[in-house]
Amino acid sequence: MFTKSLVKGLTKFSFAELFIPLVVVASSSLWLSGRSTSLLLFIKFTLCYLMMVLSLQVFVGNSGVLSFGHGSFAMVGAFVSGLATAPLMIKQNAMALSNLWQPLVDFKLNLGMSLLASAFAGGVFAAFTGGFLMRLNGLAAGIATFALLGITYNILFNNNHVGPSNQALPGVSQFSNLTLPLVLVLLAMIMVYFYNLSRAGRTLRATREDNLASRGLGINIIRVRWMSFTFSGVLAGLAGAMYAHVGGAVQVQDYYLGFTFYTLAMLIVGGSASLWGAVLGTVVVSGVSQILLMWEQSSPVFGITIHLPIGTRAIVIAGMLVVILLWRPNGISNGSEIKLPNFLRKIKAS
Amino acid sequence: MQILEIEGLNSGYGKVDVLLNISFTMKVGQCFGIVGPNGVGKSTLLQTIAGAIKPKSGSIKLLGNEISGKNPEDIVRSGLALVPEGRQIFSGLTVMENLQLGLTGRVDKKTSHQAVEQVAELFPVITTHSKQQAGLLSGGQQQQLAIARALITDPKVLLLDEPSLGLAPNIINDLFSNLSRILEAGTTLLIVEQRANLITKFADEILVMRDGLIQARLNKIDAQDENKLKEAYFGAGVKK
Repeated sequence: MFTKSLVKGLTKFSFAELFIPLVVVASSSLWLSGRSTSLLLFIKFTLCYLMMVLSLQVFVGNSGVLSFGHGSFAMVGAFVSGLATAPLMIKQNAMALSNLWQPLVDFKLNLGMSLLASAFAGGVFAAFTGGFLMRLNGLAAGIATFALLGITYNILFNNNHVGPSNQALPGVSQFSNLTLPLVLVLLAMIMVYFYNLSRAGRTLRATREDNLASRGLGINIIRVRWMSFTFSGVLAGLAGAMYAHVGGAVQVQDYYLGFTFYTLAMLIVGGSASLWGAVLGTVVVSGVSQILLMWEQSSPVFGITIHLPIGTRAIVIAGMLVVILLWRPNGISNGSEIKLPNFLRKIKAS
Repeated sequence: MQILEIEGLNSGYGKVDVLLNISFTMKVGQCFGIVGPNGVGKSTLLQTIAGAIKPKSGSIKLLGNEISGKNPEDIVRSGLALVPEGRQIFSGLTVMENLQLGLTGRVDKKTSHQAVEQVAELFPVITTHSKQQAGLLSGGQQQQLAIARALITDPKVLLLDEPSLGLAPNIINDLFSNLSRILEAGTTLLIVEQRANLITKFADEILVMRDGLIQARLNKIDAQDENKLKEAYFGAGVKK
């Protein structure tokens, strides 16, 4: 009796909640990427952003602690993967890499292994920094993660022993097609969905609702947050590496303030509390952003050309953020996973 | 056998002292009620014992072990749980998910299943509303859930802060009949309660607090004497 009632009362795996987002991401990626080379590139970048938003959803969405520091893990992941796959000749001869630390010059992995290494590096970095940062709450935690972003950026931007400092690291091997980034994102979505359902995810959401009551039930808040921060660091490291393998280069500026703002906007617009929110936010913000970018460049979108001044894109996304925070603070998804439409549920029930 | 020993406890918020030299002891299976005007430190006392507020000085012993200054998560594993004022259930989670979180603080995980069955028997809401979002329960049901969630941690001592707050009279009766069963099962209860007439009938002893101090410790018979209780509650000079 107990086992049945317990299972009944727990939020359970729902095929629709996982399957619909997977289908939406896979089908729209495949359909759009086949239409033009520029759309293929757009889809690849969008998948990188989605990986980053999934990373943020795991931590920010479940813990309620705002993190500006995940760009750090993406930076580290990108550098690890970039250095592992850039040709030896570039690392030895490029001016920007003349002071590169010798073990990094010799560091060489294939694309698959470099992605694993970047995920590992992101996770280790998050685990180390999380040991200190997860002791903080609220505003202090947000500011401290912002400080982490600043520290990481300045170390990587100004130090040419670990990378090309303010230059780009060229020659990073690129994804030859959509398969690998798409598979990685789909796998990450499955992991994030099951994490959200897991006891660890539930416990973290409880700490978001009431810190003190959670501790009163024996929950070690620092530990549950740290675990989530580390897992999200793994995904952020992978997101950074994917971004490098789409662009074919690593530039530390790519993962700094703009990247942080853009990915947090995606999370908030879609709704931070669910996988579906992460997907919706990434799709909507990326789509709007791409359309506005094309109009800023006076290019036609679906045959329509509007001449927009440079900067319109950033203003519109910031405006979207404000509108969502004012009128739908839980995001477009309202913090929920997607449900089957009513008529389908009726068919299923019957 | 002494289960809870509090000696010279001082606590407060920052530079503000709220509890001043609080001392009392409880035996296994006893029920103490704490009454007193608003703002005298009743809730602060419970929160200090449960570890939510760090004491400034003094000793809190549970079964002879010092727990003063420990983290709440460690204290709950030592066998002391708090049902806070306002219940503090996780409104976004289901009833069963709330209960499952209580298992985090339970040391004996092997008997978790039996423990859930026991509290479900005591509080039917757990079975009847297991899938429902906890925030949608009525006040009485939320209080049942809050107590069940604390009980599932397997406490030797259960602290309850204003359990009857905001509940209808018939619900309060049900609540106290459930508390009787918890008491009969051997759990020691320390209850802060504004409804003096209710707690004086229920508890073995009443601690009357005023100005951060325990002004009087009344046994069940004295506590039900309205004049004695009023004198302790409001101080000397009360019209009899």
